[in-house]
Amino acid sequence: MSRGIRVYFLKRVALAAATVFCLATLMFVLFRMLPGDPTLTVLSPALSPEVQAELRQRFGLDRPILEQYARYLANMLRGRLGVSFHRGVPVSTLLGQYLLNTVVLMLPALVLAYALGIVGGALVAWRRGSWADTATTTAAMVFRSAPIFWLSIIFISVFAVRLGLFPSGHMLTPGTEPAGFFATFFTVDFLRHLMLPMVVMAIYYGCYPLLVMRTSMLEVLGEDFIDLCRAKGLSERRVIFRHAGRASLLPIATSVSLLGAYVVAGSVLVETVFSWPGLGRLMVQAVTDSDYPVAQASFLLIAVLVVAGNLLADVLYGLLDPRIRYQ
Amino acid sequence: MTMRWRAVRLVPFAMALALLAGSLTVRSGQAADPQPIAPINLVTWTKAQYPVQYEEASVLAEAWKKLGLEVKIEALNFPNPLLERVFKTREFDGAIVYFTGQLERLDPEFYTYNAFHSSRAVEGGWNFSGIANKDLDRLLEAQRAEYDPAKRKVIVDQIQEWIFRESPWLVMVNQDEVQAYNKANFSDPVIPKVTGFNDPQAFFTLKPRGARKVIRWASPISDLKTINPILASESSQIRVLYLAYDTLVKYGPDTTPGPWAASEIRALGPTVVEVTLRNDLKFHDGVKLTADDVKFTFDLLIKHNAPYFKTVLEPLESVEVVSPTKVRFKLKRPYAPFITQTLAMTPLLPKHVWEKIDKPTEYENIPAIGSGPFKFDHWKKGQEVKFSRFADHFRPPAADGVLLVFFGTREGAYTALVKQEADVLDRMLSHQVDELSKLEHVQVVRVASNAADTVVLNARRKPFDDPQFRTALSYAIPRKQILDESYNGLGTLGGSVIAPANEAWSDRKIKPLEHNVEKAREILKKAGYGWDGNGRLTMPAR
Repeated sequence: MSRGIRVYFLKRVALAAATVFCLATLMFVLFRMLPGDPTLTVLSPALSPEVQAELRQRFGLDRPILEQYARYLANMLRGRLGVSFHRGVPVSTLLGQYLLNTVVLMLPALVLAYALGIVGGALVAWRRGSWADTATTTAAMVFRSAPIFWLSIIFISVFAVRLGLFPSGHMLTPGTEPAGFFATFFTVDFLRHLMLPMVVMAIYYGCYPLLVMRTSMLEVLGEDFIDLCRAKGLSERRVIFRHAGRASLLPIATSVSLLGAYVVAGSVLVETVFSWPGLGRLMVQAVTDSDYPVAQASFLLIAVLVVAGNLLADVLYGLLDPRIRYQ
Repeated sequence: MTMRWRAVRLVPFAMALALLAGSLTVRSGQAADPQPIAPINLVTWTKAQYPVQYEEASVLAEAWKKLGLEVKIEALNFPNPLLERVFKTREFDGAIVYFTGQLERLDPEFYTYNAFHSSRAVEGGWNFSGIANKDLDRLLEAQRAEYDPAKRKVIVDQIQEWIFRESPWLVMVNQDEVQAYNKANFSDPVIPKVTGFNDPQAFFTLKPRGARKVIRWASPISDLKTINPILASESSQIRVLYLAYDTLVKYGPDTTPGPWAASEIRALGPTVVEVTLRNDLKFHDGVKLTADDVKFTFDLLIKHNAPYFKTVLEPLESVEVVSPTKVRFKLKRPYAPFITQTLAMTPLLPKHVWEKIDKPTEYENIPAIGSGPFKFDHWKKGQEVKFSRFADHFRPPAADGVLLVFFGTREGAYTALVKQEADVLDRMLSHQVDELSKLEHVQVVRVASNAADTVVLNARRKPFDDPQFRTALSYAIPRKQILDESYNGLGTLGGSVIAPANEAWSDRKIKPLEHNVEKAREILKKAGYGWDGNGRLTMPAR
C-alpha cells in the first residue's frame, strides 16, 4: 500500500467517524424534540407522581439534558446502548436478534437486484432500440415509481392468496420450534417464506442498477476501444461482458453505497407488509411507543451501516478502476 | 426516494410547530358584552392510528356547528402526546377517549370512583373532566365501602344518574366485540359475555376437531413488549399472561365473579378478607402453590410499584399467612372492589423463582412460570409466543396449546384466518366482518361489550364547567349516525358510563339521549346563552 492510499484511507475513516458523531448528536436532539413525555408511555398514566419520579430516575431522565447527552455518548463508545423503556432488556440484545433477521432478507435481495440489474442493463444496452429494450426500460421505470408497499401487497394477493404458492408473511411457519442459526435459515421452510419479500425487493431495487448500467454501457459502447475489440474479431458476447461491461461498472459501485440506504428505508415497509420480524418493524414500534433507547440505537445502527458502506465503496473504487489515484 | 426519507425526518419538526400553534390560540376573556364562545379545542386520535375516532371528531364538529360553535380538531399520536395531554397537562376542551372493553372494568369502581372522585383529578388520574363535587364524592366513597352487591348497586345507580344528568362524559357508542374463530379446526368454545376472546378463558374451552391441536391466535400487534407482570402496563399485554397465571378470583362466562384458585373467600370484617386456597394448585415446574406464594406476590407487586396493579393494590395494608392454604388480607379502609377487581387481576407468582431475582424490574421472565392452564413454551421475538397445555391444572384445557402469532397489521392477521393459517382473530375492521361471515370455516362471534367511545369534557374550563352547556352538547351528538357510519351498526347507542352489557351494574333507567338539536338550543337559551349577529353562540351575560 502506497503512502497516498494510507493517508487517504485514514482521512476517510476520520471523516466517517465525524459523520457518525454528528448523526449520534442529531439523533439525541431529534428524539428529545418529539412532543410528549417518555415517562408517560413507560408507565400506565394512572400512576402517582412518586412512581413517575422513580422511573425518571431509573432511566436517567431526571438529569440535566447535557449530562444525559454526555452519558449517552460515553455509553455508546463502550457499546452500551441502554435498556429498553418497555421491555426491560438491554437494547444491544434486542438489536442483535432483529438485525440478523433483516440481514438474511436484505443481503440476498440486494445480490439478486444487482445480478439482475447488471446483466439486464448490459443486455438491453447491447440491443438498444429493440422492443426488448423498450419493454424492459418501461417496466423498470414503472416498478421504480410504484411504492414498494403497494408492490408487496400486489404480490401477496396474487402469489399468496390467489395462487397459494407462497406464505403471505412471516419468516418461518408459526409454531416451528426455536433452533440454531443453521437449523433456522438453511431450511426449505425459510426459503419459501423468503421468496416473496426477496423477489419484491430485487425487482424494486434492481431497476436502478439496470437503468444506470444501461446508460453507462451505451456510453462505453461508443468508445474507440470497443471498435478495436470488434476489429480484433472477438465474439460479441466477449465484447459486451468482458470489455464493455467491466468498464461500465464504476457508476454501479457508486450506486451500491447509495442504494444501501434506500434498501434500509424500504425494509421498514417490506417488513411491515410481510410481518417479517426485522429491524425495520422494531424501529416502527419503538418510534410509535416513544421507546427512545431502542429507536435511537436502531437509527444509529442504520446510519453506521450506510456510512460504512460509503467508506467501503470509496476504497474499492481504486481496485475497480486503476485510473483512480490517491494523492 | 430521497423526498420520502426527508419527509420522515421532518415530521417531528412539523409536529412541534403544530403544537406550538395550538398552544398559542388566544382564548377570549371576560367582558361586559356577551362574548362569542372561543373555538372548541377537540382532541382526537390520528387518522392513521384510529380512523374511526378521527372521523368522529369531524361528525362532532359538524353537529356542534349547528349550535353556533366552532370546533378545532387536533389529532394527536397515541400513546404520546395524546396521553400526556389528557392525563397530565389537561389542555383540551373536549377529548375523544375510547375505553376498551375489559374484564377489569366490569367492577363499577373503574367508571365511578376512578373517573369522577375529586382525588383522581390530579396529574395522572383518570378524572379527565376534573369533577370535584362533595355530594358525588360521598356517594363514590360509599359504594366502594359496601360489600353487599345489592346495596352497592343502589348507590352505583345514584352515581350513574348524577353523571348522566351532569354530562361530563358523553358516551357515544358501546361497541360490540367482534371476533372470529376457525370452526373447521376447533369447536364448542365457551365465549364469555362482554369480552369474548379477550378473556383467555375462551381458549381454555376450544376443542380441537382436526389434525391441528394447538390454537393459532392471530394478533395484529407486532410483538409483546414484556411478559413480566411487574413491567407490563397495558391490558392488551397482560391478558396474554392469564393463559399461564392463575388468579384467586375469575369472572365466569356470565360475568359473575367467583373463586378460581381460591376455594373460599370471606370478608371477616369491613377491612379483613380471608382467602382459602384450593389444595391442588401446582406451578408449572412441579412445586406446590401455597399461601406463602400468595403473600410474596402481593408484597412484590406493591414493592416494585407494578404499574398495571398500582391502583387496585393501593388499599391493601398487609398480607398475613394463616396456614399453608389460608391468607388474610388487611385493608387500609373498606374496599369492596378488592375481591372482584384486585383478586381477579393479580397473577399468582412463584416465590421460589422470584426471590432469587436481584432486579425484578429488569427480569425478562423467560420462562414465565405460573400455575395456569397453559404453560409457557417459547417466545420468538417479533414472531410468536407459544404456550402448551398444563395437564396438572385443576381445570386442564381442551387444546394442546395456544400459539400467539404476531402479524403487525390487521390485514395480515385477517388474511391468515381466511387462508386457515390461523384459528382465532380477536380484532378486525368492520368490512372484514362481512367478508369473514361468508366463509364456511369461519364462525364470527359478536358480544355486546363494555367498550365505550366517549367525549370527555374538561370542566376546569369555561363554559364546560356548566352542566347545561354540556347537556346541550350531548343532545346535539348524532349517536345513531356515528354507530351506523363509523361502526357499521355493530354496537349500541351510548347512555350511562356503565355500559348496558355490564348487566350486573348498569342502570337500566338511563336511556341514550335522542339526537335533538332544537332541544339543545332551547337548553342553551334557558341557561342564558345567546347568539350574535353571525349566529355564533355567546356566553350568558352577567
